[in-house]
Amino acid sequence: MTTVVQLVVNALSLGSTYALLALGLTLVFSVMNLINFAYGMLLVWSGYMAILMVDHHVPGVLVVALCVLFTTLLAMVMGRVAFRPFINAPPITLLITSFGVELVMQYAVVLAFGENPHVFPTPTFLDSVLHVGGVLVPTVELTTIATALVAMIGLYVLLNRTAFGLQLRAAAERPDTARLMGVKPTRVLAIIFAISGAIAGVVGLLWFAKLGAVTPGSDLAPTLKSFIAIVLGGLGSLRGAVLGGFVLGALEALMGTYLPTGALNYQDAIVFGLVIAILLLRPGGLVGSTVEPTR
Amino acid sequence: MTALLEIENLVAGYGSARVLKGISLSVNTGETVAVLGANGAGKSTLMNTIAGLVRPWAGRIVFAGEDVTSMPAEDRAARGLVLTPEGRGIFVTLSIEENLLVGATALRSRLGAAETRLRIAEGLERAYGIFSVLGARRHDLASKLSGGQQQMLAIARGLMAQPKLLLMDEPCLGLAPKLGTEVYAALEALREQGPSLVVVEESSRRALAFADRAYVLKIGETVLEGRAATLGADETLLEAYFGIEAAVAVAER
Repeated sequence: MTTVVQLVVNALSLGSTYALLALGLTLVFSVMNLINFAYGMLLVWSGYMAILMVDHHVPGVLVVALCVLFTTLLAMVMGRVAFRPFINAPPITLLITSFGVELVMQYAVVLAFGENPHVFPTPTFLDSVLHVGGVLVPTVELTTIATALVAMIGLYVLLNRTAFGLQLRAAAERPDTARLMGVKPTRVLAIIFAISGAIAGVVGLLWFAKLGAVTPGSDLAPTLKSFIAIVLGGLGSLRGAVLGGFVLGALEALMGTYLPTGALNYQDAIVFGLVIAILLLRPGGLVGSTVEPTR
Repeated sequence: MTALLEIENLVAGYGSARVLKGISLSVNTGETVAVLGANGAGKSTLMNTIAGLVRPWAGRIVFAGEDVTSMPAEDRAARGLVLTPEGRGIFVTLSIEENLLVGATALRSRLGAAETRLRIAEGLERAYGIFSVLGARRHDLASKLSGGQQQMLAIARGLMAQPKLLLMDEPCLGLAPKLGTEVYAALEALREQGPSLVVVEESSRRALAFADRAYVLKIGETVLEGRAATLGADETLLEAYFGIEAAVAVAER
């Protein structure tokens, strides 16, 4: 029983992290067909900014707020400078541009902070473990689940209960028709990049609080996992992004618990193999694409 | 009557293909204008250029006294120039009411929040009054509507912005004749109280009976213009530009 509870907590924690990252990527993809390979670098920058601020004795709450603000602005600048000029370009142009942006952001990190790993100043309350009825629950896992829950409810309300959410969904489905109704695509894009940046800022802090260190190449794992989550769920679907994230999290948690010790090194390969098997059965992802990719 | 929309020598196209070859056209306040022409005449390109989706190569578009030639589509919509595009452009992942609310986006950019809320409530009431089927199914997904109902939704959505000029690109395309008649009955109902209208049609009969004036396009140029009733009564002209069927249809009226 204890193992099962532990497994569920792990699955929810991993799943909610992947789901949030996948949502950040899918929001942008749904509006401009951009698969943003530079997304993981927003997490990395969030991590390094936290290190910098803690070094300068900035209070913890302010560190979180400023990191999120920083990645929000960074994502908006990324969208405006690197992607908006190519809004009507073929998807491959956007894809290659995102590789370029990823490299620029990575080398900027190397120039600013060097190539060596930096220890992430995980706050004490995130570094502890709660004992609940014989189950050990790391507070970082609980915080991740709670944060993801709040963020997802917030996103749901934004997308389904506000005029902006309606405009966004309309622009995602038919960008030209939405313009004919007065929807401003530049405004929609700016806000979408801002939201995805804010998500990356929050997830970046939680991700590195769990890992304990940041390197310039730390973007690879979160980027890869979130891509798998969105493909697994159904490219372009927000529901799919969440579902894909949680299914991937559950698969990883199961593998981590039940694989024999010798096979743990192959955990990622086995999980990805299972994802491929699911995609063979459901090529459109678990929910299929509800938003047709548009130019 | 004053000119609400004035177009001078409009040239536009796609890539190297020149589709519009110097079209001039005007629509007066309160007027209904039909733009007719066979497939490939450039009707949809003309509408998309007026609405701002296609950038003109040359010429001038003046709307309500303002030069809007280089203005983005969303800003034209905010000024009351709204296009119901060919193929209806319904947002099938949204509900019927959500489609109508997206149509009201242009209001938000020119009115305050309280005024917008009031106008949206009025707009929904009016839309559901004219198109009762939409009101009865307001929370259904728009994809569940039939072709004719979707066309009504497209028109109602265009009206939500309370436009000064509503352009309708082939409102009966793909509809059974009976449904086309219903669409025109709905247009007739809103003509008295509504905006100036431009109706684009491939077939001449209904549009000429409906409009005050008409323009006939052929391969990107205006070949005829005049009072709709006069054009509709001239069988020789109709036969020349729309074929024998149209002329017979008019003669039978």
